[in-house]
Amino acid sequence: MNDLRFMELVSGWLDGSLSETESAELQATLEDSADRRSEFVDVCGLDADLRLMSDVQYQHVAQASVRNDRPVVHSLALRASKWILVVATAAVLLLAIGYGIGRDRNSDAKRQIATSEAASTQQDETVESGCAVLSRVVDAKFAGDTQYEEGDSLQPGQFKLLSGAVQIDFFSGATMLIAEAADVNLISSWEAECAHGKVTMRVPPPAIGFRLNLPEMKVVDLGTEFAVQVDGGESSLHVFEGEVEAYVPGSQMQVIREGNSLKKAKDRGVVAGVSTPADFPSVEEFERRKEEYYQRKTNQWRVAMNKVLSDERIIGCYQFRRWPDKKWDRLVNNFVIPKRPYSHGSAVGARWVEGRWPGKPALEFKSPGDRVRINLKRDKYEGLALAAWIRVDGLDRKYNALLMSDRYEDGEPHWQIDQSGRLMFSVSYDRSSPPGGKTDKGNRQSQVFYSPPLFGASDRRWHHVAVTFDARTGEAVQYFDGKEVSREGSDHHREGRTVTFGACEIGNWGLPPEGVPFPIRNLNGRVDELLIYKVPLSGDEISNLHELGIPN
Amino acid sequence: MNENPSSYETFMRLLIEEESAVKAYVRRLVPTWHDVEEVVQQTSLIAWKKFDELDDVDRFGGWLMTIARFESLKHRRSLARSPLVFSDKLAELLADATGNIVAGDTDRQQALEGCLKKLDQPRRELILNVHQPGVTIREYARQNARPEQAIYKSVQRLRQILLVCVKQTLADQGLS
Repeated sequence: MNDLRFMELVSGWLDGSLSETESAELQATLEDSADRRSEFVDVCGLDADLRLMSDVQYQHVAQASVRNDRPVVHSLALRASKWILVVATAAVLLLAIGYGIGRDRNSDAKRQIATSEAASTQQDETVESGCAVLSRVVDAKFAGDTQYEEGDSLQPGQFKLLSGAVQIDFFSGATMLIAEAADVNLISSWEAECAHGKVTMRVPPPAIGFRLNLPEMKVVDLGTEFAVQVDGGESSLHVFEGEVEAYVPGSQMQVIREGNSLKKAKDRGVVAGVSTPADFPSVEEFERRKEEYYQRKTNQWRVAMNKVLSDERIIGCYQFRRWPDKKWDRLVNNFVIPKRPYSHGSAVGARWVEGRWPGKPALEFKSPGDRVRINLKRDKYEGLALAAWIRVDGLDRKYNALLMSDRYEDGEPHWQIDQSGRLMFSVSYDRSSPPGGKTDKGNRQSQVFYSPPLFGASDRRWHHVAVTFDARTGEAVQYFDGKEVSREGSDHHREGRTVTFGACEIGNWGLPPEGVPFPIRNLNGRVDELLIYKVPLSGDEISNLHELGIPN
Repeated sequence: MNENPSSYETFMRLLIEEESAVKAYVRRLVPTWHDVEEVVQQTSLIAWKKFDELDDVDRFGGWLMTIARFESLKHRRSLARSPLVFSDKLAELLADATGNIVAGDTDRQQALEGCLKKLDQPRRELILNVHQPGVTIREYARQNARPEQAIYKSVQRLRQILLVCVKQTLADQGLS
């Protein structure tokens, strides 16, 4: 039996469409060959995966189908409705993609805009600052020192892209998609120049009249979608929808209608032709690239994490992967190998949201009840290292929890951020613990190690934070985005000390003892990775952990 | 039965971890997805009843599979004779078979997600739609006014494509 026939029969079996004769044929093959049985097992596994997945995927696909359902519309009356569709589509896109980061940065950009507007009313000499917002960035590299990010507002001036893709939303409402190397000059919210590259413009009714200048022609939009390409001395214009006015020096204004193109090379005449939408950047292409980019990112990260989670020194590797099945929504796995099933975390209250990049889940901590409970048992270690990717949305409390042992007893750590934005780390030790002697709560001491202030009140960006502590020397080193930010020994250090964890919480403090000041310490922000080691890692190792998890 | 709440919590966590693995395992032994759901439900019930007999939670996965194996073979006996129900001999062989894909559930599913994204939209929709709970290809074909045989063919090809892609993706990641 060849592979094709075999797959046909297995497929028929899975779909319930197998006849008596076919069934006999399949069974004979399976009985005869262990290899075929292995293949059969793989296909059955695929079937199970698809069934488990299809429920979740379905909604996503349904939304995607709205996006791609763009019929070719010719009549003018219908075109208006298509615009509505495009606008609706944009709204759907925004919802569907749900840029956690982008949205927040957008609000930053708005804040910047608001500030500049306020400034212009106060000071007459302030010229218009900013003419557009960079609304999407996919794997983009820019010329020069400026590294733009999604949500940045753009000033008039040159904008040079070396690779990747971006979308620019002009304040007039016009949208520009740029893919691959391009050199454009933003003149105002109503005008731009393209000196090199491929650019697609979408101009909704409010922005009719938007002008795009090319070396060999000027284009005025009449409400439409079109693209231009400038390559050396040759400029071309392609109209996909609606119409545009093209002004070529030395000849009369021409109206180019949908489906048509116009090419003008230096020292040569104008050539009319047919437009080719597939050659130019499109929103669909954009989405595909974005998905691909983050898929690749996720895969690279996964491969890198496979090494991390099997490190013999790691005891907690919480990657915050979300299970497709709603039933298991509260589970936060500890992925260390060998497995430690008892140490899986359980999320209480905290919601699943987007993490460092689209497709990487995180848990969001907002209200005083939100937390992840974990238990790492009470083994004693000679030191520890904690490393996490976090996003701080606000410093609401005097102390804001990252990882807190429940009881804060002898050898147990607390890792927090104080209200001024300093990382703070401490281990509780009994002042004197004679062998077999009673320990007294009032007799505890802990030195708190502080970093300089690192977080603003509403930082809202992803950062890598880490701390290492050597119980043998009492030295704690703290790190922020891979760099050492504090190193301090303990004044009260004693020989023979160890650290331990027991029951702990991520993002909250589970069991503050009675009478402790500021017992409510819930984090306002997101966590999408937490690693716990039983030894202090070196600075290089912390820096590597930061490196392999950088979102962009 | 174990009534300790923390032991129930542990049990649920372990079960969550193994859910897709046990469903994939049972799939090869019973003819329809409906049977799979029934067997897995029965399996988890029995596993919970016997949970305090399990002395090492690290062995939960294998232990659960043993129960699932027994329950699958038992369930088969309750099924009416049909071309979809294999002989007892073959069922035993399949129960002991291992696949070529050995990567963990999460990695495998992640790979599959990536492969689904590589399909064009109509094909992606087709393969996901026909795997929706309760959907049969006959019904799907009727609703979409398409020839049934053509859909069987497409689904068969897509399975082939996805399987090759998943294996390749896992191999590229060194997980195979």
